[in-house]
Amino acid sequence: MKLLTEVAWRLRQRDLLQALLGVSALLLFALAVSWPGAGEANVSWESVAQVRSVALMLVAVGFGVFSAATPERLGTLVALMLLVPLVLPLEALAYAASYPDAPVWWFVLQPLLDTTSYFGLGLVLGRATKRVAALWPLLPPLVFVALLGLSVWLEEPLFNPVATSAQFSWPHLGLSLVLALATLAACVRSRVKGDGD
Amino acid sequence: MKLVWVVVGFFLLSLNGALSQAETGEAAEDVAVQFGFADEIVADAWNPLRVTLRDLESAELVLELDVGTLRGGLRVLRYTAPLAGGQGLYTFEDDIYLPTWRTFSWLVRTPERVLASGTVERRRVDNAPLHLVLAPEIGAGGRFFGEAARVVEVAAADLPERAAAYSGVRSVLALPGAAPPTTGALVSAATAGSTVLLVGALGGAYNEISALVPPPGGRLGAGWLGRTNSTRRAVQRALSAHPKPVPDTLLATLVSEDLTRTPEHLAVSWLLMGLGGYTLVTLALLRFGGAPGLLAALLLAAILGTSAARLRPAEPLLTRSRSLSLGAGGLALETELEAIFSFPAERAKVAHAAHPLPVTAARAWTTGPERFSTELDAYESIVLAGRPRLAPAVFGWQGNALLNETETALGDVFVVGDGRQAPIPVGETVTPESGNLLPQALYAGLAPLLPDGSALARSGGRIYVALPELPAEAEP
Repeated sequence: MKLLTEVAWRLRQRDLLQALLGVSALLLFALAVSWPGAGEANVSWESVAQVRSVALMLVAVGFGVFSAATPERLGTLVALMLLVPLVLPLEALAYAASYPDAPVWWFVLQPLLDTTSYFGLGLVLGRATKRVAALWPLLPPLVFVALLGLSVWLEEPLFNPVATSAQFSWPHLGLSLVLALATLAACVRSRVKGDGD
Repeated sequence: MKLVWVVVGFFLLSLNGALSQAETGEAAEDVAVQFGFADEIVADAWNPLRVTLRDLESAELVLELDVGTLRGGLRVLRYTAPLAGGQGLYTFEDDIYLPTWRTFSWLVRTPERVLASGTVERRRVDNAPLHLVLAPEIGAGGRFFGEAARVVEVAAADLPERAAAYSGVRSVLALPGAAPPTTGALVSAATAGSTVLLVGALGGAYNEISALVPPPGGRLGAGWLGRTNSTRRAVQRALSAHPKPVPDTLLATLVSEDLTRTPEHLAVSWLLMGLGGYTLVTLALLRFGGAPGLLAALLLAAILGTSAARLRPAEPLLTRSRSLSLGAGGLALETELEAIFSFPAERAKVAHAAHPLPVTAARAWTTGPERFSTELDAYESIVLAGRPRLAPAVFGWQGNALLNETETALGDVFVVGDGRQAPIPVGETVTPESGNLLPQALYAGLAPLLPDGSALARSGGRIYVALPELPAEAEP
């Protein structure tokens, strides 16, 4: 099966459509509550970016955890990566109107890299907890809390998905780039080898 | 042990302070700083500033004023200017807008030491305009004015050839026997709106100025330049016949909504409807479109995302400007008005001297000979009034007709007393006729402040005012 067909097939599945719908609904809600009235400063993107970052993180970790035991890792990963450009128009207007410091390429690249690396983290966690699969639904929120805790402990927002969503950061970019490339390489290698376990 | 270190530290600091004071005392003789005319400052106006260094290396002049109020809190104006210095006498001159201050301190420093420093006391705040007198002897000018008037006797060399320096000057009197000032200084004073009076028989030194404005005198820019006899009554009559226009007051009338308007946001209901529709279309394409549907959804996302992101303004600051030119006699006083709106929290900078209008609009600002900057919050705007400057008058009266010497046609023509007029094409003269006496909305605040016969016209953001020649009986 060609990758495009596989990804299209994956994206029409109920779980990913629900994920897309859920993230979109959250973004629309964030826009509705943060969009300013007449004469007020438009700082809506910061809120929308935080919601997008956390929502995509939860979705990516969740799919990563559950994909650990399936052969469709690459297809699921690419489908998740495509969710990012599909939801970007929902925050593009907020980005334009808020005039944030973050450059436009950060606004596009950062969610893509973060989603990929969180998927990789989910894969690792899924493998590690293979014997206690009943815990899997709890892992995404646990990861979220753990990342926040780690950031507080280190006094460094490097791993904080809320703080890094709208603020450009070289360390975060470097880290997520390395993790994303590792995740992509692992998924491609697994597909080439036909390793489904 | 800690106490010992504290005592030692305090001792060293005290020693350092004492040494600094000694250095300032030694060097201060070679540094002279003068604000206003003969150290008389007019608050809420542009004032001349002069720094003189003798045989000193390059230094920096720093002024720091707290221009806040008890209710409004601290507002800091900081002015810095480089002083080139060098062998011999070095003089630096500029004009600085000095709002009413609570504290006013200045220093001249090099990176290594403070050369001189001082303060200007709060009790010296006075916004009454000055009457400058060029007199052959001390006290000769006092007899022309009442006791309450701020009369300053100046030497010809103290009169700068810069219009902004005369912002707080009501009149300049040149008395017989005094060393004559330059023609440029008198023209600058008159153009800035001051009444310049050549009193009595002054002799040949004033022939050049007499050629420019033949006796008994006439309007020049925003002010008046003329001759009068040497009685107090004649001087008082001349002053009352020519009230000084205050550019800041006139400019304030031009701060209209179209200049300071905050960009409007898209209505949230339209935004949500549009984006909700996009989400539905995307879901449908993914669910029923297969691979082509996925590609179509991605294409749609790319088009919408790019279009929306392109709505981001190219520059963080949105600047709208307007200028006011008050002209007569071939010269004009031009003042620039700029409204700066900031999308993000940003530092607003302009490459010329300016002040906030009103000054309470900024919490703190930094200025210098050719710069101004202040911090703006997101979606905050500020209006700046530039330093007034002398320019050729390109719109004015020629007899009973109005002449347009600008490079564009002038619209929104209005003559105080005659009403609205037809547009004036480039290079043409138009004789005003009676029209609608209600001024255009833009002039609603400005027109009532101008004398009868003043003509107003507009080209883009530039507003030209041609002040009328006075009828003969009104002349002193």
